[in-house]
Amino acid sequence: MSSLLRQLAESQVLPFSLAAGVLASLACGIVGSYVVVRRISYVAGGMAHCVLGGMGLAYYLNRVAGIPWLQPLHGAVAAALMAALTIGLVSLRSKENEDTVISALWAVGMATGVLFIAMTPGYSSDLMSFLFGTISIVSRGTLYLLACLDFVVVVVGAAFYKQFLALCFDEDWARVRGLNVEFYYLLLLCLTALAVILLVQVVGLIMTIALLTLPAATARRFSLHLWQMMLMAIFLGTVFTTSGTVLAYGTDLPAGPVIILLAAGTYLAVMMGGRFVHFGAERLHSRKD
Amino acid sequence: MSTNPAPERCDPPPAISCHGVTFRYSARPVLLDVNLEIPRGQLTVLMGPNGGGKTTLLKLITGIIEPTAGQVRVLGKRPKQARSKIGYVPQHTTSTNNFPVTVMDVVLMGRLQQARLPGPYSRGDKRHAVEALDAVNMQSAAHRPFSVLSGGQRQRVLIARALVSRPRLLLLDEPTTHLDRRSEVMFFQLLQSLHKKMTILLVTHDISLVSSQVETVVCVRREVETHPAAQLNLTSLRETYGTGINLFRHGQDLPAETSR
Repeated sequence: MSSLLRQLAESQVLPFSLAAGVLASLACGIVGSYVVVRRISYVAGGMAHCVLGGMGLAYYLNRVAGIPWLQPLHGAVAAALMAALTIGLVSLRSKENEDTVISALWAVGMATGVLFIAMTPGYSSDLMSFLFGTISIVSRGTLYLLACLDFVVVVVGAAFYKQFLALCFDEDWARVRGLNVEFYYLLLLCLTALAVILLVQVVGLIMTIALLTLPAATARRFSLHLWQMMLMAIFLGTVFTTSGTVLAYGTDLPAGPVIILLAAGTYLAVMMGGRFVHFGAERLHSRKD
Repeated sequence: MSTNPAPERCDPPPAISCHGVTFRYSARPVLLDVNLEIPRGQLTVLMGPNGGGKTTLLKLITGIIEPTAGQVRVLGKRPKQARSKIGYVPQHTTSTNNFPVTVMDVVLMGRLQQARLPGPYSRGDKRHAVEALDAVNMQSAAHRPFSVLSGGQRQRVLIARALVSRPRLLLLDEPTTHLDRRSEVMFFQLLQSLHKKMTILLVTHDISLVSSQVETVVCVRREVETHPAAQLNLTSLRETYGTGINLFRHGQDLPAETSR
């Protein structure tokens, strides 16, 4: 135990990994809560998998076409935003079923990404890092980019809280009241895309939906207000990413799966004890009344 | 020596007016040449069978859709311009049952148009919300989760959300669908108290809602017919619904009329 603590203290990369986890938790707490209450986790899943296409293309152009500044993260941002706008516009304006388009983007994104990575000369373990995350080798540059994305997500998510709350709670009513539902839905999807990018760095694109939704879904069970759900989801996300990263570091396991299993285990435990908690809260409120 | 003519007194425009309104989905007409005028201060019921065009007419009045032909005016303005004066109570909300909001959160949503700037709702908004909850007798539930309320209580909260923006026209869409008899009676008592302050348009396919407080009934079945509620008879209802119906008049000691 003491040797693990010494290793942690002396580690050069661990502070970056933990910081990346905290940044991802901020975004996933805010956006994840909107995603859970608006029931668009399948949309987030589609975006996460579509991201691989952008990452693969950027990776290919970087290595083969010799564009050194173009990093996979840039490709991921472009692909996620494109997927968000496509899904949003189809959902709002097209007669095509939304789930059909999401499934198509999901598969096409994965296929494109795998093909570009296969065509790129080099060590193929890069594919694995996209799929399962790179939290244990986060660079300072990546951290700054993540902080920028986080800033946008937190500021926009908090600034339009009232509008997003109305949109998520009662879209039809919000439309009648004159809220620009189309604009705010697209904005919410773009925020979700940015949160997906942050989470892809931590747990990889395959497990992104889990980290986006599990802390928020767990937090919902203890929350009276949406903002409470967000704060609790941020706290839970930070606990999961920090403890998962440290645990993985000590046991030499991949961090992404450890984080996800911690989040899923907590959600399961809370769900099992949910009835007890629910009745407790109800009794508390009835006493207050 | 000339004298200025006395200014003409202009009557305020009606709460709702439709002139030659037609609306088509693809080629199929849902509403055809609708002419309708609902004066201010009335309690009006808009009724008709499912698929008759009630919801479409409501969407036209709220400005969600534009008519294919004709014009709709609400309080003398285009519907989109009059939205701040319209209170809308839907049949139910589109959210899940376990959405984390309190009653106060829901009512405050009604202040969204007045509180567009980022940041929390102001003290003034909260004061209006408390007053609206008071009007529907739900002030004691302000900090309870919305999800634990009964159907009747939820309906009252949704009415409070509509009232908090101080509307001059209140639209209620199928308001008693999920209510038991007791809640329905309480709902009508509430409607009676609100009726003194604003124009109310109640949309329903439930004929039983035509109570003694209702002044006008608008029957919608692609075209519209307007009847004073007291003169509503079986013939007009049968024409609207096209089926056998029973008619009971609330608050009047009259034998029920029956038709098959």
